[in-house]
Amino acid sequence: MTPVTYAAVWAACGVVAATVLPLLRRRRLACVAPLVAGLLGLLATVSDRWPGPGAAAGYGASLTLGHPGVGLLVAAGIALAATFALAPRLDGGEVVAAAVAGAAVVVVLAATVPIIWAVAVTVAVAAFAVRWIAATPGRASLAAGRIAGLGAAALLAAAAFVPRAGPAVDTRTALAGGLLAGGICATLAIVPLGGWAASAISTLRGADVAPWALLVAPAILFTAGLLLPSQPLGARTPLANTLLGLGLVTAIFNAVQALRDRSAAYGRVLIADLSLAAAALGTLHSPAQIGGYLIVLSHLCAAPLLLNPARDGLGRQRRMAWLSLVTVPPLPGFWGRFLCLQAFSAAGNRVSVPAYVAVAILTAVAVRGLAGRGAAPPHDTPAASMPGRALGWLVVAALFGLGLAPAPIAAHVFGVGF
Amino acid sequence: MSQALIATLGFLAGLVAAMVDGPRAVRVAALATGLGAAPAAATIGGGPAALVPLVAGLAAVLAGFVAVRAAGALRWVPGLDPAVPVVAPPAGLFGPRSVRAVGAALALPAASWVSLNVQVGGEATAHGAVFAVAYLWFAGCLRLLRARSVADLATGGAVLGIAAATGWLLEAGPGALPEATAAAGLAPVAAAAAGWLTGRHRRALRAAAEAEAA
Repeated sequence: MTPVTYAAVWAACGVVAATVLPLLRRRRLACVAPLVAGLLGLLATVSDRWPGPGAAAGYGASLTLGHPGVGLLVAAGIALAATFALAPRLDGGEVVAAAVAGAAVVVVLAATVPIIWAVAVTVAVAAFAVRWIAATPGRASLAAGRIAGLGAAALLAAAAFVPRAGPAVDTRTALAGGLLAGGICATLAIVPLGGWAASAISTLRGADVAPWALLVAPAILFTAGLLLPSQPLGARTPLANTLLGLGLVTAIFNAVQALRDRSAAYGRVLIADLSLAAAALGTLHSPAQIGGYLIVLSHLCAAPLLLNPARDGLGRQRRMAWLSLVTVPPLPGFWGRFLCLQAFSAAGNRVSVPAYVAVAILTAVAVRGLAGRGAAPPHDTPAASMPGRALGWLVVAALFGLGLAPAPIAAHVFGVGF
Repeated sequence: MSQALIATLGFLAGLVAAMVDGPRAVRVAALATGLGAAPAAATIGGGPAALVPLVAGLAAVLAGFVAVRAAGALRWVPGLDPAVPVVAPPAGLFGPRSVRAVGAALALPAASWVSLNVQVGGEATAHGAVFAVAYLWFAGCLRLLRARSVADLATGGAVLGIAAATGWLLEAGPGALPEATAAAGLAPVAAAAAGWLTGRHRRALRAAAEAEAA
């Protein structure tokens, strides 16, 4: 299956789920759509070489999916399905946004030309922003459209400057690096300090946030990791420095906010971890990329339980999910952060100290979550059904499996070893 | 066509894109952007390149119109009105349009700086074309930055899609039509999405009015 066909499969699964399931009065089965779309990724054509959006020396809109890209799509499809299945309520619109975002993310991960990558990012941002505004009209959801939209606009502009950016720091090359940095930081919510995403996560339901958290943000992070080494020095330096500096500040800020605000702690932890991974990419040291992969994988496993609100019957599973985010081996939260810390250490004390501080605070947040404080279910949230509880334990098993065997799982899912 | 004329057309199109409001804003902005960007694209790629922004603008008008009609003809579904501001009051003295007018004025020197200092593509002489594209891009960003509704976001998306497509043509030359077409495709998609939401909401309003009259 070519990437274009696979993108069409994602979109078709969403459209079918949104039109057919309400007629059958089976809206709860919306979780099947991302599951099917994700698993069909196993049939996608995988290239040994993953060129990424900055690779094209010439021009041509070819799409090539690498092993990490397909691995992300399959894992994110399963994670989205689990998130939808564990959600207290679904109104049907979530699956459309997830499917459109999924289709766009296939192109984001497969693009070999920067303009196609930027257009796909724009479509993905539009999909979740419109859904967020429709679900919960307000400043938080509108800010997602404004800021993430401006990030996508910056990436569209950068696309025109990226192909011929040179090693010397001339105006054009500096603009390419600056626009790429601004665009990636805005769409990853590193700018402004996680603000738009944190507000949205605290006001929206988990099923609405999931397409950004599990699909769009990881895809942008992965492709940023591909873009960085392919850029000439003049464009790479501002991009790497911005990711490193702003990523660390955002990671610390959101870790502290997670400690302060118990109601939206997981959202803050997710943003902090993504920022930490982006900052590690900015060090340009090799463990950063695999560290980012493992951080994303641990959140793909933890998010179905923690992104959704607390419910009766899922309390123990949620505590286990919090336990998995403690930065102690052999828990899954350890490995990704450890590899990122290796990258920071290689870059020097000035960047490794704040990174260690951020990781320490994130560990404290996870320990507090493990204690179960602040996890009282809202009064109008129904208790989890028996299959839901069983699914919760399955998610916990996946989490601890990842912690016990991170290398084989990372090799299997992303095709990388460490 | 002279570079000064190309720049002037781009400036006028950018002004329309920055200032237009109302239920047809997305379509009007996309059409104006397509018309303003077409001469810039023709500088590098001739007729076929000029068709990319032009057809994108026309397709946005058509897609928006068809989506409004289609959504109105389907069964009633409650939903979001894209033209209603999400949080801000609808109008006011020195309100959002005034801010956009100030932004459009500030974008003029910014786009001039880009056209004079940044070389896009192989030819360093197409300053007017670069100015037009840069000004349209700033206009699109302005719409996003000051967006109050889904219609504003869609307008920004449509303008940015056509501006990015033209910029890519200037950069990569006439051999890059497929990528430019994909970018320009954002305009009809945005117009269709906004049109669909508008039509769906109009249908709801009509149903409510009929129920009240009965």
